[in-house]
Amino acid sequence: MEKKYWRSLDELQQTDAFVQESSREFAQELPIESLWSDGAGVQSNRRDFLKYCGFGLSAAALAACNKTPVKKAIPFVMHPEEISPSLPNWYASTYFDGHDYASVLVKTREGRPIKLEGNKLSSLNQGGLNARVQASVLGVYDEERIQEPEIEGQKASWEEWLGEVVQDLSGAAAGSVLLLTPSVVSPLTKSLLQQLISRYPAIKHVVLDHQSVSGILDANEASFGLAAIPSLRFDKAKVILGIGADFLGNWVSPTEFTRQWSSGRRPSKESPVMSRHIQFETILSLTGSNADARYTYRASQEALVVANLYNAVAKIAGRNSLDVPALELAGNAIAQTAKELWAARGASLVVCGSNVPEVQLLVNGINDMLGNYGTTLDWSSPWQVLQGRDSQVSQSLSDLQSGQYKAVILNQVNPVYATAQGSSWAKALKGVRCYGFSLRRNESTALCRALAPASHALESWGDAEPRQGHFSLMQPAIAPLFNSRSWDEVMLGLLGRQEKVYDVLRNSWIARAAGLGIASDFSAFWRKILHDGVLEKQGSAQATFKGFDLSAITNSLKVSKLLETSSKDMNLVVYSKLGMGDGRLAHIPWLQEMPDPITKACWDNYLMVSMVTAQSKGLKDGDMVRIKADGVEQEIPVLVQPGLYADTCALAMGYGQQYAGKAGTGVGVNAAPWIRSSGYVNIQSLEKTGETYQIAQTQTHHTIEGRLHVKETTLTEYAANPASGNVRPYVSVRQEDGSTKKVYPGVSRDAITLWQKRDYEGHHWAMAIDLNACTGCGSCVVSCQVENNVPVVGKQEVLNRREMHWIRIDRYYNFDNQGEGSTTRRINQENEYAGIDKPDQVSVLFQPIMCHQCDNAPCESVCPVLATVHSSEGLNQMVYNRCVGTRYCANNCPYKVRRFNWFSYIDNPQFYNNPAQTDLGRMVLNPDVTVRARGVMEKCTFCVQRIQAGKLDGKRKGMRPVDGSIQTACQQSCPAGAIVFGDLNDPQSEVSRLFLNERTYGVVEELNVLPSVNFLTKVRNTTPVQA
Amino acid sequence: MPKTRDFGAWRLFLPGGKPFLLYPSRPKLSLMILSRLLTVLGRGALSIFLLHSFIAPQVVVAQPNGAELFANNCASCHKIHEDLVGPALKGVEQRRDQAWLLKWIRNSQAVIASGDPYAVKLYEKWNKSAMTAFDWSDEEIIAVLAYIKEEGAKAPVAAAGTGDGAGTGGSGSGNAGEFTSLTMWVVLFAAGIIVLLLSLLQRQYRLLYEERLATGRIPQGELRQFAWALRPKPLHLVGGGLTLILVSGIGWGVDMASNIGIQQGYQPTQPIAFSHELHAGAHEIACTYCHTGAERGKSATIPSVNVCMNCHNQIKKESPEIKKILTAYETNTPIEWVRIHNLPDFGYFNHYQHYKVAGIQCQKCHGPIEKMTEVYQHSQLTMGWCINCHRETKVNLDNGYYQQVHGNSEAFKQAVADKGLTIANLGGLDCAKCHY
Repeated sequence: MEKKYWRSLDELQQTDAFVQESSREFAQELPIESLWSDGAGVQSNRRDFLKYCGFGLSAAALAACNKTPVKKAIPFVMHPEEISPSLPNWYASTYFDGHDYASVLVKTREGRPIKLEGNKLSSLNQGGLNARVQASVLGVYDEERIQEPEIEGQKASWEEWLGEVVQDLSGAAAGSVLLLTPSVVSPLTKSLLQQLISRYPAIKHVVLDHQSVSGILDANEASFGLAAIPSLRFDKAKVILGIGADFLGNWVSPTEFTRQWSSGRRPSKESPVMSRHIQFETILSLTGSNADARYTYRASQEALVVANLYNAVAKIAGRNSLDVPALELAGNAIAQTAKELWAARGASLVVCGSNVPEVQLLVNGINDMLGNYGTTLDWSSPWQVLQGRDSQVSQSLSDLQSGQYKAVILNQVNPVYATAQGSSWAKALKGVRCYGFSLRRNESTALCRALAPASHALESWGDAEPRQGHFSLMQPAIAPLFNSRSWDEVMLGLLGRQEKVYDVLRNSWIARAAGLGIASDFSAFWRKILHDGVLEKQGSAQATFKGFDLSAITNSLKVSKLLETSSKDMNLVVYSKLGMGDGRLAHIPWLQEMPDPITKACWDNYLMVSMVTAQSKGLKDGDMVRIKADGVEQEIPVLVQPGLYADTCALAMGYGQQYAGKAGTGVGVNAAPWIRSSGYVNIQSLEKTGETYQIAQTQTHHTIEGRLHVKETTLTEYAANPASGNVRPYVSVRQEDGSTKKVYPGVSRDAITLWQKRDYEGHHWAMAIDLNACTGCGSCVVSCQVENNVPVVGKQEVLNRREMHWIRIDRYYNFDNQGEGSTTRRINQENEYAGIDKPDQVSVLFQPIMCHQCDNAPCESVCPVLATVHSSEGLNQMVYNRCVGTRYCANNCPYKVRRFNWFSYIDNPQFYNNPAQTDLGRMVLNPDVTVRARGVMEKCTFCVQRIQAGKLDGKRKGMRPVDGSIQTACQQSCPAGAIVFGDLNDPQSEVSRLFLNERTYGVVEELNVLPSVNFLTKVRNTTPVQA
Repeated sequence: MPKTRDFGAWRLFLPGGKPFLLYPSRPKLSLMILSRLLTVLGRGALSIFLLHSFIAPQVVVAQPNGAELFANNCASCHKIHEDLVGPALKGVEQRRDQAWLLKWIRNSQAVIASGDPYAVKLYEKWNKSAMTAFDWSDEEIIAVLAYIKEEGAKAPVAAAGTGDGAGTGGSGSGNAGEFTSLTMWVVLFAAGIIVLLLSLLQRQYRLLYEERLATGRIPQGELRQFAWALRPKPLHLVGGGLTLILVSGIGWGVDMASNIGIQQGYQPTQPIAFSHELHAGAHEIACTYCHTGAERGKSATIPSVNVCMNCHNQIKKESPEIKKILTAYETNTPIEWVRIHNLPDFGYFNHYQHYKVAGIQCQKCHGPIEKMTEVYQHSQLTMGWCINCHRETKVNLDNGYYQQVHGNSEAFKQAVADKGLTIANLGGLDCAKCHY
């Protein structure tokens, strides 16, 4: 019996609507009626038809009579040496917006940054980028940015603006001006801040992180004397335990962790080993959905779970334990996990997402007992990107309320929107002279008397030290588009220094180079680090665990009421989505339209409720509820989500903004009032309002009719048989002698076929995707959208199932993985979806799907106008200018990857969110890719523009392109390195080796379409690690 | 019955599609001559058509050598026999030794700065215009010097036209368009003659018929039919005329429609009367001296004003046209040239691929640019035109890429052995080579 996978609750329950929808290729009929009727219910008739025909004919005739317009070719007056029209330039730089940090390579065309890639030399990125940083390039071309300094609503000059601030700073009493900034990662900014504070003692600097890791910093300061986070080495860990820490999604340094985590999960025939990843959590996070074993706990009991784990480990280690109530998760998970961690001591890793310092202290204690410091937790170069401390922020608020501050400078922070005390901030800020420095207007800058535009990271000079000893330089890829300045420039202005920030930066590096022992040739060194972007020196920090007082922690937790076992209240958890983060990029439509990895919903936030709650309250997807928690009441639509702990609701932050532009304003509700360091609030009431709301989810779109598309096995089975779980379809062929022979169409291509054999004499492009490495994070979706000018269609069109993404990530659930050592729970007919009684225990599989570039492509054979044809290099070509829009191809595609341009997204005002609709937004388009017109099909091209450029580069060098030099956009941005692209005709290429791997299979290869995209089965490490 | 001499038969197709057989029972000498003439004319027209389809353009492949280096890098400022922006180079190796020349060519400013008296004198003499530094190997410089020596030994040529990259290569398929129209005229002429001869023939028949009628012998069969069939009737004339107008109208419409967007021959007036004939023709400045992009990437690029100023801060400063450049330079206003070659947005064309990888000469597509005072679009720039060239042009197999990627395939070896590998053989007709 096969396992049964499902993609939505509708599919699980086979609702009527689902069955009806799934049988249709296109969700709706052609909207002809609505076009022709006059809106008052009057139907169209033959006369209208003839009118439109006549008009169409005459319009076409008139258009054809037009003279070809005269086009101008305008060269430079002085050609900048480094710009060659049509050739991209790459600059190494750094992106930091207050939360997301990345060392990036910026691709510029004719001086315009159009794409970001991860810097391979940076240990924090290793070539990958998350979706938000991918999308941040559009933030440069944002017409809604603040464009000029202003004072009390009037346009002002920078000198006037700085003058105002200086006036408030000089002569003021010490500590009477509050400067709120995000974490300061730049050594240059740090030194300028010091100078600024010594020059103006009035300044009191406080760091405000919208998503702080304050609890860890406090705990580490107490345990190690360092308010930082040690380097976590998920690649070295044999057993990984995450407790509410979404380290593959949003926690601390997810891009780095994803690469590490996936590198520990690549078993081979020769060495069938991989890490074992256990996750305890309340809601279904991206990390939890990738875990080998996943257990849920009540949000209010997080501290108890950690304390009990501490006790379980302490018991094995023979140490003192905490006096806390006993708690166990399903299947004795805590005791079992403690055993596994102990068995792998020295190579295990426990991380926790809690923001309670005591809980983090216990986690430090667990890691110390397990002997993980020095191996999987390394203090030599601690991570120091996020520095905000919640206690300092709340102190500064109460000081502000008590009237200690006369003025406030807000540097790119938004306390009014993003903190739980937002309304108090708003009230307090109204009473002081408030200065705002920001990229965009927001809820806090609205209260400022003077406002100044900040430069984007891609417009500024600067540097960063995300990790002690790891430096990254920020160089501008474009001159500031508006009259904006970087924060460093503002500080130079406040200090009255006339130097350019570049000179100050370079001089600071001359001093640093001397410190690093690079004295000989500074300009060569400078050129090199500007070129490389990063300089990574092994840090020298040392830290030893100081231990802690067990009873003090217990007491403190008791006081905070975090050790309650009897609570039956429903919990509300605020979490952050991978696309939206803390919402500072909510104005970027690419991120709004990116389906959330778990819920596959876009353009909204919603209250995720568990299936149990939904049943007991009679809720279904889209029901509006009025929720009251901790005195705050809001109305939110409901989305029923498997995998949540029974009595839990969850709401994403980053929505409900008032200043998030065309794309983000008014989308969803603000969850910030419910952010707590404990991670939850109790729900006082939850009632249906009776109204319903439509949430745009992509998960049931492009369904593939229950065919077997994801395959998985367990590590034990894999070790015994590398092809386990990978059942390949075959055809029995009767031989001459009467015997039968099995022929595997996916293995021996062309073994049995009605199709004409295709010969690829030169290249044969192909892709292999490792389902075991893919975490489903969705970075590829945004990367593809940026690279290929994929339009943004907006919520209504997603509801109409007309999203345009060329790559999607299918998310499958099943119920079989309980982490109890049992391999799989088999399904029989009576109990088709076993486990439906335990809806919080789902396991999840992700599968990126793009055009499979089939050798025997079903789309090609049905196109009446030869608009999609096969190339000599194995590509399934889509010729837009031949396409007449019959959509037969999409109907015949077994992978459902073809997208039809229903509208002219570049000028139809309905799609005002599409970046290509504004002059500034068009700057981000990739000039090497056609912007498709209305009425044509489009789909993944395997980034043919990159293939062509790579081949040309090969010809330039007179050699075959080196394997790996041609990368598709999805491959390049993948933080996990799950996607491998290359030439099957090159026997040395990695993709041809992977195509021979026992785990490799093609989706629905029984159709003999011979896809050029193959997948490697998912391997789950379900066997507990033994001592 | 009179005896019959068989001198051939014609099958005429009338509008109804019925074959009309013609067997003159007693021909006269005039008839015989006429019919022979028609045969000859018909065959002639046919052979012109066949000849047309067999003419293939030739490809000129560039060889890297001293001549090329000179043309691409030196010729914009130097000539062999006469002074230009810099001195004439004939006998340069007698004037200075090779070691000095190597230093000078690599970095003339360094030599001047070192205080070399000859260098300083030279610099002063030529109005302190600095020579570009060339990052060349010894071999490359020696190749250029050898070329200068070789050319210096020849007598000065009055008229230009042989410079590499500027002079040759234009003759290949340049006349395809003219040829087509010539063929059309020949065919029309032949058709006219045929119509004339047919009417003469018919007249002869009618005379024959009337003659027999007069002599009392009643004509029979085809002779009778033919003699009367083509007799003009007013209604036939009107109908025929209308049909002719309709058919030619449709033909004209289709012809016009297929020409929409084709701007062959487009020759707009440019803001500055820049003459390629003078620069590329007479002065033999290499195309890529100004259109540098062709050596790097997709766009050949129109030179920026500072490229013009390389020479024109010295030369012909007083000309009103050059003054426009100076104004643009001084006021920092770009020159708005009128774009002549407009490829559709969904067609990708890469100059580097064609010029550097394939070694195709600019003139192959741009026509005799070195003879154009004012540039016009020489080629059709239609997809059919591109595809034709891809079908016919042989691949430059010196490139290791082709050997390594395609070299092992049987089809490759076979095609090379047969008659050379065309671009079409290597997938050059794939849609996604140009459309994506």
